[in-house]
Amino acid sequence: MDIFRLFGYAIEPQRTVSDEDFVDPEGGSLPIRAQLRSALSKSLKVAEDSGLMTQVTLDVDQGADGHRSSLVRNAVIDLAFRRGAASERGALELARQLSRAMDYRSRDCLFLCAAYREGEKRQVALWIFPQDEAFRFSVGGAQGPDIDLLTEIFSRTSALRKMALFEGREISTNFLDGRVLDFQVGRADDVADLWIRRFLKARTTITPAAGTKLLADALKKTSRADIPPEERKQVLTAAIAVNNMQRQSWSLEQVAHEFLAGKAKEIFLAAAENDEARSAVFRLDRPALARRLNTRTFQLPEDVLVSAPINEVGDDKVVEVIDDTDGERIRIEAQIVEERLASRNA
Amino acid sequence: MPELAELYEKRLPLLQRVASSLEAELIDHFTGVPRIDRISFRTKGVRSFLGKAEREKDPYEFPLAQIEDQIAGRIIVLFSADVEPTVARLCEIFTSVEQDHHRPTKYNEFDYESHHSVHVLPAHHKPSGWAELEDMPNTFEMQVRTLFQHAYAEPQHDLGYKSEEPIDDEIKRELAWIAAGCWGGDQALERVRTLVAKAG
Repeated sequence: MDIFRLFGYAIEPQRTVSDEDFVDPEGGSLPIRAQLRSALSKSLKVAEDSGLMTQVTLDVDQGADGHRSSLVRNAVIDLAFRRGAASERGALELARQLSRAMDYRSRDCLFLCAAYREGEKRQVALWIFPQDEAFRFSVGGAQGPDIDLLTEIFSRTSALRKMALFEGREISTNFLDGRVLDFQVGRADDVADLWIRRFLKARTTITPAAGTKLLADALKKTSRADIPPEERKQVLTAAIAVNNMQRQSWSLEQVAHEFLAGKAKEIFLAAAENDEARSAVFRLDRPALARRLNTRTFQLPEDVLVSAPINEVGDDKVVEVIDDTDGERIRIEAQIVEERLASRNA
Repeated sequence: MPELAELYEKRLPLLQRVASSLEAELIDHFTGVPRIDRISFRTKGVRSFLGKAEREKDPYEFPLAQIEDQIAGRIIVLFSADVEPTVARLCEIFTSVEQDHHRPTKYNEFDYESHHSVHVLPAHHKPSGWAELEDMPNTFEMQVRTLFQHAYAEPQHDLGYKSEEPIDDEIKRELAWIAAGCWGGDQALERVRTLVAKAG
């Protein structure tokens, strides 16, 4: 798609500022110069290829006329489909919303809204680039080498940059969801909520319930696969660690990157239908994960199966796993509480 | 609209895969939840899709992208008190963009009743090939209703709503009688459930 509109605003945090004292962010329509067009296009491609984009759904209200409305949806549609002042009003509305979402913990930033078109379809990319400092070093001057500190710059590659991408036609079924790049998603504090919750007023489309099921299914599938014992241990470690770590949100990519290697990693990632699902971040539902991965099953010779609650396997637990020269063995010595006959499922 | 029919037929296998995948996910999430009679999904047939796309009133400009029940699911519950918690659970699984409880507006009317919602299709249900087709649906529809609401809705849908001729008043009266009976059935079941719970 071709970029045809660009707006930029300097955003200061005003989350705690009253309505009377609120100051509109400064900025407006920007010329689209070749260098900037190329830089934005590169940033967009890097984001889309990053494997870190997350699908989000906007919180919309349903009007009596059936119109699905949210501040962000309406403003993005105005920006992309209206002309002149109406389009700029959409961009300013987004800049105001961002300023209201940011508090003193956020750095001042540059907010860019870029609109792209192809036929009747539009794409809107919303970016924030945090303010940064940089050195300009020169050696060829008359006074010899020199250095300047540049403070009025915004970093295009900062890990604090964020992006949201919306695409579609001006119809009620489009611009309801988008894709987001935010490296801070997953942090345990509410800084992570800035971009998705407070600014976009959105939720991750893969809900905690659905994401946790996706993760548990992928871990189970991997643990059942024919993988080397050390990789099987990685799967087990992942299952336990993800549930015990402070981090709130995960994607399958992040779990794979953090805990798995080799064939296990491959099988785990292949459990998801597509790249978007692999990179989508979701908030973990810990009790649900504990319920879904609550049993360890050991296959022994002569068709013997031992099944135990995951927390009862380990040193000084009912079931001990011992590393031996011939591989792993288990040891159980416990009182039989009850015994029954049963048929085993195929 | 031969071209539209062709385009819809081409996407149908993918829609069917998504419908099966959504159904499996919902069944999994509702396993162990009491008083769920059934969970099922279907894809819209070609004729039905074309019928809707060609409607005269408020026509669709981009039917392939606008018609939201290309994939639709239904949860049938035993009691009317089960509808609300079921909808809440459903919205914990799929993000929702529309909620609407269909029911007659006047106190002395009896007609179709069901909870309808629209949800965004999550990335993990989009099969390979999905992104390659133009204007794939972004959303899917869900209905949550009681057994009695279903008992009225299904035959009524065939006999009334789908009829090409205007419906005779006498038939409308019969349909309203059935709807009233079903409404009464739900009310009575709810009272019995409360009495049994108190007695137990």
